[in-house]
Amino acid sequence: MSRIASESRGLEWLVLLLCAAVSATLLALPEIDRVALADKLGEVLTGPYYRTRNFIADVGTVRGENADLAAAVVALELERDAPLRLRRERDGLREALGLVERAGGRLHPCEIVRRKSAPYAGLVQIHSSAPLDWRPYQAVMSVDGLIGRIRHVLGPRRAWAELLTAPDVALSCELERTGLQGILRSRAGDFDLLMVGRDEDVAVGDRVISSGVAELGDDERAGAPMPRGLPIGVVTVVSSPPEQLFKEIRVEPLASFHRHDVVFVVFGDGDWFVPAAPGSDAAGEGAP
Amino acid sequence: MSRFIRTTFILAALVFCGQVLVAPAITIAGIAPDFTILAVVILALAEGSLAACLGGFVLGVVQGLSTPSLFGLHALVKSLLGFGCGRIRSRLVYGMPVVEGGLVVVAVLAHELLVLIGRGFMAGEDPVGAFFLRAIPGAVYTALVGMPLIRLADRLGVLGDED
Repeated sequence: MSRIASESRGLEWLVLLLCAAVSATLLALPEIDRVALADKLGEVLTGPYYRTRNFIADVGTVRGENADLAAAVVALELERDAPLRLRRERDGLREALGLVERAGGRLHPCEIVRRKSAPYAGLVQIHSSAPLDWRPYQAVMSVDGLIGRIRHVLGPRRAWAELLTAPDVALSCELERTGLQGILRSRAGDFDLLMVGRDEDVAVGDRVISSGVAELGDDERAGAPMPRGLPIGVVTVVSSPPEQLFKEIRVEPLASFHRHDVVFVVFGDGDWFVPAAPGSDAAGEGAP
Repeated sequence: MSRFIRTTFILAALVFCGQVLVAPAITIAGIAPDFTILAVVILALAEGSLAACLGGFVLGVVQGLSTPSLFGLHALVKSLLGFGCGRIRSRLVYGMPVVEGGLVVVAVLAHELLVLIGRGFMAGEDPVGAFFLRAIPGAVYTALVGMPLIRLADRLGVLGDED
């Protein structure tokens, strides 16, 4: 019995000596080696714990940031909706004063039968199956958006339509979100929106619609006015060069100018695409 | 063997939860109970010198990873502490909080004294001020926390019968 106890005691002393020897060896190492060894052991022994703890802490931080961002998004959405509400109120007032005709428009389908492309002309000849009382400068649309306007009436069933890509076309447009107006001109497949002040609120993604404002000389031509609200394109690039008074705005058209066979001639000059208030069924009645 | 595994598991949980979760929450004026020393003391009371010496060494190595310039010091001191506590466990009267609290106080003071001497020797720190300002209050605080834990370990059967 005493031999077993003695052996056990001997083993305890042996383990103590071993632990002490290993510890003393670690302490006797040069400090730089000791630190390097601790770092390597730490990677294995405590690294997973610290990585997990930091990950959980990061998740908590991200959740907090996410909540803040969600609140910011809600605030921005409210801020974004404010101009639309103001615009609806303005349109309501204009309607009450008899300054706007909301639902006077209709579309008539026509077929493209000829195309004429030249450096200074982008014309398509359209054919209607029924005789139409069309007039110069009537709007012509595809299913995606405005593509041009009637230029020359050849008869009750045929007319030449001028595409927006023609070099001499300049169309008065506005940004749907803010109501800012500018002049749309074709440039190399896309469009430039000109005459928008450098300090105005324009953002990439803003929709561009027709403004319904007559261009210089339209009255003299006694043509049909362009209705307000026809979709034209989306803002893709906005910049404010320091040496210029106006912004440089590039607009990508919604409609293709080369791939459609059927187009629609717009009759009527009401406001077609004014965003309606929820529950209201007055607006957009004439929209395609 | 199963008791040894259960004791090791409980003490590992005690050290982890105590050092990571509890100690930061109950720190008073920078003084916190040292759950690693408590674990070594309980291991010594439960399993004897051999297990306590080895457990203290492992705990010291892990604890030393956070102070790489003194890597090895905690392992040495905790090995000695576990061995010492295991050697005197047969002479203690169990079930008396004063005895268990006194054991914890002595263990913490001895541990801190050795660590402070080692730090003074290796890093040139003054051990006297730190001993009175940190070690003594820390020993009392650790004993206050440790007494109920030792009682709890006894209730759970961790301490078991003396072999």
